[in-house]
Amino acid sequence: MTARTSIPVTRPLRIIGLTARIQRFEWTIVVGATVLSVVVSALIAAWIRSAGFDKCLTDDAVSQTLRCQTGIAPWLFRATRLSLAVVPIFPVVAGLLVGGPVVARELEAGTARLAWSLSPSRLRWFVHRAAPALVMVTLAGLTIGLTADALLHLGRPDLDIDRTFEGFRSRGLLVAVNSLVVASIALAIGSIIGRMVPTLILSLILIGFLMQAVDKVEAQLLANEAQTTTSFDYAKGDYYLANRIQDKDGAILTFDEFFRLHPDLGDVGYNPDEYPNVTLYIPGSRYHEVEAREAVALVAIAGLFIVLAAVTTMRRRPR
Amino acid sequence: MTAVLEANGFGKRYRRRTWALRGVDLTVPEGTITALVGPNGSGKSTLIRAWIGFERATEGRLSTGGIDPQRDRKGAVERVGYVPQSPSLYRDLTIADHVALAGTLRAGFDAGMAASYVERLSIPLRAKASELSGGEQAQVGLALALATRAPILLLDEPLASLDPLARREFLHLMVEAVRGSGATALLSSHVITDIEQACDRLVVLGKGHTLLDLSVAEALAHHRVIEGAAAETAAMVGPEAFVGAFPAPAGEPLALVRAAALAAAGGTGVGRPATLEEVVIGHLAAGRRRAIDAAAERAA
Repeated sequence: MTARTSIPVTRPLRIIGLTARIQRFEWTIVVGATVLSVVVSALIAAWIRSAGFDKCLTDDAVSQTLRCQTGIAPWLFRATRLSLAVVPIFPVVAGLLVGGPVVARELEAGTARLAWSLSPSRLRWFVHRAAPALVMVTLAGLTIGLTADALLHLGRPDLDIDRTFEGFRSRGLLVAVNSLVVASIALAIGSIIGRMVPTLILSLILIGFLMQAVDKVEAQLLANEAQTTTSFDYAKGDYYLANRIQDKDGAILTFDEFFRLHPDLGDVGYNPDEYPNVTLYIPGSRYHEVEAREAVALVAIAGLFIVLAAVTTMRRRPR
Repeated sequence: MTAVLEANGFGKRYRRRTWALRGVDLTVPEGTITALVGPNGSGKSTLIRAWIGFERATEGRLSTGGIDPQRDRKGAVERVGYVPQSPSLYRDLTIADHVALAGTLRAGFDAGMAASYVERLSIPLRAKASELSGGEQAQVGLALALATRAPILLLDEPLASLDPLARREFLHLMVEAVRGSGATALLSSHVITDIEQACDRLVVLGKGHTLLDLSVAEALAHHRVIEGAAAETAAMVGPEAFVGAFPAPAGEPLALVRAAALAAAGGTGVGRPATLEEVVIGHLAAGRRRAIDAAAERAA
């Protein structure tokens, strides 16, 4: 084979392939974990259905039988619940693993020197490196999110997963978006710091703060749109926000606000028939709407961090 | 001759304190292979990196093929093929991958040329970078830089980690490619013997300043070496002719003097012709002495 023919033609797939090979370790872990998760979930689902264990969850009479209470069935359901429980960790681990090294490791290892001297457009280099990584981690997150949807449906067949907040943020689209946000933050921090370990630590701290902030803003926003009920039923899949007291004039008050208005009741207590306890909640029917709104906000945040990473990369000097 | 690389009063200060370079005036003429020589910390890498836009000037101006790399880094990078100090290859990628990667990043990158250079050096294209020796990695870096077909080649101490044979092969490839294409090359190095054979100009940097900027032939013709203690030689030839004093490898004191000033002082034929290494060392010694004197003056 001559030298000329042994050099492959450059195509977008080639760029993705090269990026995957540069980040071989991280891509192997994230893609491997995703594939493993899908395969194991599919096997568990197939086993549950083929053995008729799904009736243990839908038929009260069957659920009390020995077949459902002993043997493999409880283990399969436990595995399903465990799989769902680890889903929220995926975006953080995958995002940090994939986003952190994109620029940071190139700066640390010195490969950025070679790449940036070859590429007149540093933005092009950044897009070649970051875009495949971000797309991959988002797709991996989406796959995990959809798998979580399927597992939830398997474990809770009574729920309409399109109209319930059960597993909110731990399934569906938001797993993908959270993966993208975490990867974007790690990407930006990595381009600023240029070292791997500090990038991972600082990104983790920042992600913690950001998620708390998003949670607070979201809760505030939803509280303004919430409906009230005096008999909240968790099992229906509505989104519980907070408990309040309804004043005689119909005003919904926090406990602090209520006792400030009625200091005399602080000592003697209040009559729930006079001042009923109400629950603020978002009905499960709004699940996809709330999910989509949060996804848009998080994608915007991810976009800001990606722009920050790109600008930093374009301005900074290689080591 | 047109200047391809220029520095006018260039200065670079790090962290608001240390000046890596200051007041550097330098031109590299088109079509030459210029050696940039100086001790560690003299600012060679800083200057080279500034010409490709990797460092910002604290003061002064630079030009890379007529482009100000601070204002138009993209334009500067387009004109430059760069071989960094350490090879900087991706450990897990094969050499063929590196060639393909360069093709994705640089318009006009000649993948065939890069591959043929690499094969000529008996480096397998399917080998991973991590499987190559430091010398082979440097050669791959050179092949990639040459295949950019850039009119300017900046080589930042690429010879440092090479064994003598690899060094010779590297320089042979570089000289052949540069002479063949009419490009301009600037090579920073500590290895004077190789420079003498490969380069036609010599620039010596020391303590952040340009100490010497001549063609190699001029540098050799303009200097002589006299055996003897520095003070005696300086008194004998006068301050105009005396450049600097340094010990020979065996320890005897030597002094580098300017041939023209020596002849004007009636010393024609005194001493012996200087080697290029002695010219460089003599000027570095002079630079160090001036820096010490200046520091003492400031302290006083």
